[in-house]
Amino acid sequence: MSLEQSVEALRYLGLFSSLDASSVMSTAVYALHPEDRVAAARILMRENSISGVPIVDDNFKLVGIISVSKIIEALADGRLADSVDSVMTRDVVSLRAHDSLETILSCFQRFKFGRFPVVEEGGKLVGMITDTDVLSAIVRSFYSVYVHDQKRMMTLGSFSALSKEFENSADLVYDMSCAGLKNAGEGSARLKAFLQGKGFSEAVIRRASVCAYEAEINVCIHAGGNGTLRAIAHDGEIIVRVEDNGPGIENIDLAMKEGWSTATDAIREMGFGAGMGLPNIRRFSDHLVIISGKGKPTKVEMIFLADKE
Amino acid sequence: MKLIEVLEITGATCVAGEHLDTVEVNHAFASDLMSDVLAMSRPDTLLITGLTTPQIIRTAQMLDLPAIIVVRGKEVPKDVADLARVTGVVVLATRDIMYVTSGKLYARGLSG
Repeated sequence: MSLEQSVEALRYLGLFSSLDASSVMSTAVYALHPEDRVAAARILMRENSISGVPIVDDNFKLVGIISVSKIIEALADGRLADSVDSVMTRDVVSLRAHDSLETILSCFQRFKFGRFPVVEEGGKLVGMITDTDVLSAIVRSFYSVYVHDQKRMMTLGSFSALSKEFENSADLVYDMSCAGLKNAGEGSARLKAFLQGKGFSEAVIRRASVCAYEAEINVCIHAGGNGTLRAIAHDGEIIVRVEDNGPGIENIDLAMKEGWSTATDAIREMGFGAGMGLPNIRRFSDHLVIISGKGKPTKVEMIFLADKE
Repeated sequence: MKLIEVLEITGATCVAGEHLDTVEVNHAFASDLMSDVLAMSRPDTLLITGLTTPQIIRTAQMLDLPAIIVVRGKEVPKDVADLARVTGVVVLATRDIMYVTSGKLYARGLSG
């Protein structure tokens, strides 16, 4: 299958649809100014093992790029002391921050360059994408939604994607018992207070609370309101696990889709059941593991990294 | 925008909470779907909703939203107002519909 066909298949299947250029790119980027010397570009590239450097103006707007081949040409012509401006490529192929993975892959295929600058509206440089960045993003995306069912658990034996830490104890345990949606949020409110006491930043507490709340709502909507919420928090990491006793998620792929829900109209009238629960959890958590299956208990484990903000 | 201004602009009454002259909101989000609110809101946002379930308070609490304005003249049940007091969320209520409330606030500079 050609890369072109693969890209078409990705689009058709909606795989990696959550990956866009802003989530794939490296944001720690070296850049030079047009007035810098070519020699500076050479040193920068050699010392950091990079094969191309974007050139930006005083406002960080992308104006060019200089690659290894341009450096070699400049070296041969004895122009290392000239300004970058005189040798850089001005007609840069760049990506937009919201470009899809398919667009990124198409660019790699079409232009055969090793790297693409990513710019926001107005042309300001915000990151760079190399093939390594694409590969890392794909690997990361597998880890972020690692869903497996009972059958796979049997195959994998004692291996579990869930944290071992909960086997011993948890810093916070809340037993949910919820008729309808009335008490939904009580556990998340306690989690929030607990995390505030631990001194985590507001932003990570907000993400963890929102996800725990959505998970709690799911237990109330789908599992009769009985379940547990447990949390462990240390070393800049918050692990939250919400478990119930079933009836389980029959099709996790569908459940992860925005707008897909099995909730009743009564639940919708209460402001939930719009099919945003698990997608919201995926959006705001750094790692997510869901173990479920038809007629099985559901375990949702979410990890939040404090230093990601 | 101070909550006291929100109150004046929308002709709302205060159901729960105090310090309306000091609490401030910089954005607003209007929805009856709490999951959408959870997906899209920023902390300093006023929630405009027609729901009066305890979940509007919980949603505001999780997101650090300072205030909610309940539209369409819905009466806020006592348990919801109590939960608002406990969690420190200000609840206002207006007879206007969501569209009118949003329009009035937007026209006076409260952005989305």
